Amino acid sequence: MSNPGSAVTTFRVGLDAKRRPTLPAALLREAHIDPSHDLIARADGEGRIVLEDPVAMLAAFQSAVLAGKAERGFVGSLADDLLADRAADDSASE
Amino acid sequence: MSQLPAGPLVADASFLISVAEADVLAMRFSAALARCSVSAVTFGEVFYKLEQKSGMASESTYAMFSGLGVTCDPVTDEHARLFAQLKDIDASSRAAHAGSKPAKYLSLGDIVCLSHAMVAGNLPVLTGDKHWLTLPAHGLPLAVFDYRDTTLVP
Repeated sequence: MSNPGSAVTTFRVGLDAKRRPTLPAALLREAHIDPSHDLIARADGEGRIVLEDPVAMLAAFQSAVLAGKAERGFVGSLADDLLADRAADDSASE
Repeated sequence: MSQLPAGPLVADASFLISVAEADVLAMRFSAALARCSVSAVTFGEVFYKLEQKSGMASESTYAMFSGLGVTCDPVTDEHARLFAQLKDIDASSRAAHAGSKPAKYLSLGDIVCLSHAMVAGNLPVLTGDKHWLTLPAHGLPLAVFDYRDTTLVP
């Protein structure tokens, strides 16, 4: 949903016989999406489909992970933390 | 200088977690995510670590990686039947590196990931666990690649 008062450009997108959409160039430009990239699609509730640039989606996810680490005061590598967990797991040791 | 092979790969949890935290060395291989599969247990390690230490919901982590093309396979008795072989390989490696501190053992998480790669057709594995790099010399029928190895190229 847009913020009240903000201008949002909407585009009507048709589907062909194989349900393939044609995305207007102006829509891609407005979203700063490189038309050569594949997009990731997901349903977002009833009647809504979201298309995302995978590069942007990963960047947003990484930002959230780093912010979450900072909020919890965790410094260091989570991968190293996992490897330490595994090293401490002696359930499979002899 | 070595190169990550083309074709399907198995991702260890350490690699996926490093991608999630934007590790520069892991991000060199981000394009390979669409070729990666993981076992459900390995995915579970990624989920719990990110939820525990960054608050990222497992559903969001699953949606992100599956959206990038990472596929998840169940763990079955076929994997379980490889555990003893992997323990033997691990013991052989440990004997050869006797005196190294600390002694490294394969955890259940390690064993599940490696058995997944074997069952999937002896696929190459991408990990940050350097202990795994010692195992092919002791009978592990897999190519193991360390994403933190700066001489490894995508």
